[in-house]
Amino acid sequence: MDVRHNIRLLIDQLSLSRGDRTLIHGLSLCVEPGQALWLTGPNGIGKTTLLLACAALLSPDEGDIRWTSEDRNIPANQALAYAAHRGPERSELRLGEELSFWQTLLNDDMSLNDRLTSVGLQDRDDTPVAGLSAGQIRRLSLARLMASNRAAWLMDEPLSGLDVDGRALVTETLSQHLARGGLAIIASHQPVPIIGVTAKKLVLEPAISGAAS
Amino acid sequence: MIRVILIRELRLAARGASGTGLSLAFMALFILLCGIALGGSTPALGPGLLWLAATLSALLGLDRFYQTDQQTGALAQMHLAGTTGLSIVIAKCISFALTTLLPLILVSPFLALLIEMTGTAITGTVLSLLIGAPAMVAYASVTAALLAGQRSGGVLAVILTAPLLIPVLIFGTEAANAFATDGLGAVQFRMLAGLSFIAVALGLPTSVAALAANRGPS
Repeated sequence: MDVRHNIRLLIDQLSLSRGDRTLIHGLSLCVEPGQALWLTGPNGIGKTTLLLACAALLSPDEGDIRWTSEDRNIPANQALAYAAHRGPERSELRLGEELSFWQTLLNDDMSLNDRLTSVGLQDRDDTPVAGLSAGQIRRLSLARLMASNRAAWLMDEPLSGLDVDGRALVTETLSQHLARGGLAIIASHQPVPIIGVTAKKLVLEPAISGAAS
Repeated sequence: MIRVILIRELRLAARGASGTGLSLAFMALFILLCGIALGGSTPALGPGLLWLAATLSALLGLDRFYQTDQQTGALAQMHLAGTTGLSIVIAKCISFALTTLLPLILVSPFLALLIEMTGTAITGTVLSLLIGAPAMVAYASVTAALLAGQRSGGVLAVILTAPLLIPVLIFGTEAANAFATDGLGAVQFRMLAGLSFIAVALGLPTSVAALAANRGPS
């Protein structure tokens, strides 16, 4: 596996807002290779906003977010893969067409069938994306993360809509990813079980900085 | 990368995502109504009418250029996957040219018969449309990229693109008229080709910058 190792996330005095509402103020933290950060807190508190900022899709008001490897800065679009709450799928496409498109962009070396099998979607490549259930869309999004070969995974509500097998699949995939030296930032209302690692928990609170424990 | 994105675009267009049918129907209706409203004076106005019809019909589908992929987050994901903005813009432009503009230009000779244009006028108009097409695509891409983050940019896109297309319209119709006397060597054709080159040179980087500015959540 060609996961780029030893990428860490450094957040320094970060302030973020959406519209005119300040969501995060003065947040500093560090996530090391092999670690997971679990973001939690009530709806609308800024979990997704923080993920977007980590993916450099949203610029911070103050402070900075850096992905580094051996003291060199790595651009966000080489460091991470982001599984958003709503995926980039187009309902007009079939599952196989959708996933193989992302596999090609991400230079995935696994075949489409193997990739589909690895997330329990085998024999579904002809299903239109519009006909997939919420849980199957989550599995597709997990497949995209695995295809990315990136060291950092940003996951927004990875467990929503998943059945028991699906949850086990997330746990297994995530544990393997961390064991290989990857890191993960997970925004979720419920804890995501990981084997071998205890996730750092960050509870976001209204308008003041969250404290990592 | 461009090829992969283009294949996806063409596949989406084949499933009706780019609204080609709607643009074609609009163009046919526009010419039909012109024929009825303007009566016997249409042959002289022919090139202008076809240019207007093609421009307005092409702009109809403008809100699908980048908007859907922006809203689903696909553009952001392509960026995170390491695809350059230029590859995305070029693939989208080629797709717009092939699936929206080219069909409009291909039906224009048949619609021209509705308004009783002569064979030479039809040839001249089609050639001028083909030479002006890159300019239309490039300017369409710029406004579509600027408005990618808007929920409903349809009419606004037309209003923003129309002024950019004025020189193209002027030299497009002039070139079509000049074809009868001077053929393809007419100076108007060269002007039109020049406008197309300028539009592409300015339009591609502007689109890339506009998409980058719109990359965040809408």
